[in-house]
Amino acid sequence: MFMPILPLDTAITFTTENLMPALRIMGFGMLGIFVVIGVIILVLKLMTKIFPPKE
Amino acid sequence: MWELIQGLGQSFIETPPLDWLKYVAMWAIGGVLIWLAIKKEMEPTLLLPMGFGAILVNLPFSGALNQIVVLGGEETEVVGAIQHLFDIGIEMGELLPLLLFIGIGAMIDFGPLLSNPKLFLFGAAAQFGIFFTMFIASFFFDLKDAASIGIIGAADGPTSIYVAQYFNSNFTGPIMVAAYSYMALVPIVQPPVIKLCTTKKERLIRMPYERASVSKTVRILFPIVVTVIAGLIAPTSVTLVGFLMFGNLLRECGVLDSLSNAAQNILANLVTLLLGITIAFKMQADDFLNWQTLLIMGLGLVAFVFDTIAGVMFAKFLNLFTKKKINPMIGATGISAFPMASRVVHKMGLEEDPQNFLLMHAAGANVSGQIASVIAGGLIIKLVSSIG
Repeated sequence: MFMPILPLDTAITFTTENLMPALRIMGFGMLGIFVVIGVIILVLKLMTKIFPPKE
Repeated sequence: MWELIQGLGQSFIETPPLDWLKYVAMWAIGGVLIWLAIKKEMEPTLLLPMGFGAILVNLPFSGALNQIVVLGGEETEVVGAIQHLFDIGIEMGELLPLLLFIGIGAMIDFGPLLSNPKLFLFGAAAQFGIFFTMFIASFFFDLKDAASIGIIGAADGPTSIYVAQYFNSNFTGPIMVAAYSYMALVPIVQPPVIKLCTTKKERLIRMPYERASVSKTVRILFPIVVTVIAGLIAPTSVTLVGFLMFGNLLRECGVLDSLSNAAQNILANLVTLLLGITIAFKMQADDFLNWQTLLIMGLGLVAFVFDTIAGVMFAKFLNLFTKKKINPMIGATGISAFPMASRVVHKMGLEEDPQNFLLMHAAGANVSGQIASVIAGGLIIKLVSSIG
């Protein structure tokens, strides 16, 4: 169980109740980052083709 | 005069001995932060104001914090400067970290990344430490605090403050101390992890730098496009990404040099100064002196280690499919600690082979980490709010 502010002599509590949501956030989070970055890479490549550097 | 002396004596008497112990411990912690900043030059711009602020807010009845005083027989709340700064600068809309992003955006040259967009992938991979640490932290904290702790792995102070404050975490103080300490410790933390994950042969891979020039139009469009894409796919990240990219647009547009310079120097310095001392509000003894602080410091290390491992392993994974081999050490620079991480990898490359210059590749991956960490911050806010 979570306890917000603990004094120095209070032990840390251990819980597995957040296990599944945490795993889902980890999976969706990494997927989300790669999707956003993937789209940025594609658009960037497209932009470089459309607007090539002047010689 | 006698009344003044009596008043002083009373404040000593009214403070219980245990509280004195806590205050003295916090002064020591503040002193250590100042020492690290001055003597070891560890992120001095942040650690020094934080250290001094930690002393300031941990004096009995500190006037830097709001206090209830009796005036004319009535109890009145007197506003303390640090608390007020915290309320308006961080509590309400996370203003200070966002303003700092404008300065950071104006400082960053995305050129090496734009000329080799593939490097963006390392920025994405190296955010794994954030989510892995959040997962581990969820065994000890609720999801919002676990996410705030995980974001230490963003290796980016303003993002850490933004996320921790968004979730109203009780541990903002320890999170900030951990984030800035490990950012300063990148040259110590990363090399052994990189060496552990790579063979000598892999570290010797040379990557000739072919400078592909990028048009000014692309440089100008880049911040706008990134903001739109991040905003459409992960709307919660748009404030963070938007401010970062706005700063970069000021830099690249070519007609606002004075504003760009102001953002890079005056704004960034001013906000950094205020941010450090303001965040010390969260370093009050009762919030800071607990076992969770030690646990958070440990989890911060886990975040940096797993960021590095994920970046390196991803580079090795890419090498399975690519003809032009990538030096896996480049993957480690996907964390956002800029430019420290790229310097570390460049130096490691030179140690292995004096002719192996990795700096430009490393710098590209490193700035991609800046963008990816900000996107990760937005995503974690969205995911925890909806799933948690």
